[in-house]
Amino acid sequence: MDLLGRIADDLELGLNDDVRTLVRQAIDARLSASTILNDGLLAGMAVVGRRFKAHEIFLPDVLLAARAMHAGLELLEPFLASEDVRPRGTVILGTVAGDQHDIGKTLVGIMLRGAGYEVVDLGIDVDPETFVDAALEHRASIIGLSALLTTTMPAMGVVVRHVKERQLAGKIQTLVGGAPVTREFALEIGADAYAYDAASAVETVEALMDSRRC
Amino acid sequence: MRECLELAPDAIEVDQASVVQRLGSSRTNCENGLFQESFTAAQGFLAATARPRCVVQTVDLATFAGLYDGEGSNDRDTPLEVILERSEALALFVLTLGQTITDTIRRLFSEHDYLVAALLDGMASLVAESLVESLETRFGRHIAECDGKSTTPAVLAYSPGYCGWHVSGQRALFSVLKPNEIGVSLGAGCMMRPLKSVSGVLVAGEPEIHDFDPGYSCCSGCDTLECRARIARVTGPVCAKREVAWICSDG
Repeated sequence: MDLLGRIADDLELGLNDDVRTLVRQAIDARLSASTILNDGLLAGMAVVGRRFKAHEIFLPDVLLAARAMHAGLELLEPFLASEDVRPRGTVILGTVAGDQHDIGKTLVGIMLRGAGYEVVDLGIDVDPETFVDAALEHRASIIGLSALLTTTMPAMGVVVRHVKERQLAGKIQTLVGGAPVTREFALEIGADAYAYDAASAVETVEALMDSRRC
Repeated sequence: MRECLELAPDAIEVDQASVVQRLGSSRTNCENGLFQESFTAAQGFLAATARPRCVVQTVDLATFAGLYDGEGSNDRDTPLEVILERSEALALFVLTLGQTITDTIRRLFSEHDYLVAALLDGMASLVAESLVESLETRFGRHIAECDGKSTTPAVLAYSPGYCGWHVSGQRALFSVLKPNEIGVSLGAGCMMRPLKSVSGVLVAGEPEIHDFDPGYSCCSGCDTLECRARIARVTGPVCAKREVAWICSDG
């Protein structure tokens, strides 16, 4: 098996030390950073994403793979910068105002990074204005909103309204998710998309990005 | 009675299957030892960083009824209103695992040690729930001792934010209990800081008082069924039958 295939396979198994070693070998072999990224690391994460969605593997496996992805990416980043390799897109993420739950949106961020997106994680208890300001600052086209409480879900609607009031609808799309959030709720508040879980969040972001390219 | 308790470290136990289930998994495919290694690491962080403490204060029904009304945002009908009418004793409580464990979870995520972070997060939630159960037991024993009875009453905890009790009820609860003594405060959205904290009221009485039909308005938006398992814990098979009937009738 070639070096890139081994990177992808070891990443899938979560073998971060091995992935780091293989990425170093690939760099030394003068493979381009974009090739190592796309045909090694991202290829491996794509398989992980597919298998997770098919319930062949589970969240612990995904998290180990994501750690291995990061181990490889850390080595690769300076070379990606010099080759001017850009991420597939930028997504702003955060938990809405009044809500301190962290882990859901953190998992979405991990999955999105694994799929090649740049993620700006604003953390928890984030004001509506901060989401929109961050999207403008980082030229992000998608804001991902998380809420874990029925009492904080309405804050998602406030962010969606802010995007519209600032004449940014269409330029910035909103994606909502979290345990109590439903597709119906997303429609009701006028969000652009709803994601049931971290895996579907990646697919939804990809669909939103594709819709912008059409 | 008002007590601040440091809970025993030996109460901090977690079983692997429950933690994995908490992560939304029935199992992990990891056969290379990495999962076990991460689980052991998370257990180590749990033991090193969880500092469980709680404050408990008994309260009479009239005082609690005022607290329960809070800011007038509860659902019109709630199961707890009915349960309270038949209760024998009540105690307010706030329990926390402390700030260090939350900081550790965030640090592990930021250092890309995702699985250890997620396992520690799941373990912390399970431990907090388990410690509330131990408070229930402790309060039940306390009531039995006070009343000179050989049998302990059935005690369950109810929390703001659940079963029609509006989360703003935290403010009234905190105004009486003042849990700053154990390092817990309220944020703007009535969320507790540190995050791994639980608050509510311990309700003691005959087992049957905790049993209710899930036909309240709050029940229609609830898909966890967690109350059924909790009720079954104190009422036994009577409730279990009802749970099956309810699930079946729901399709």
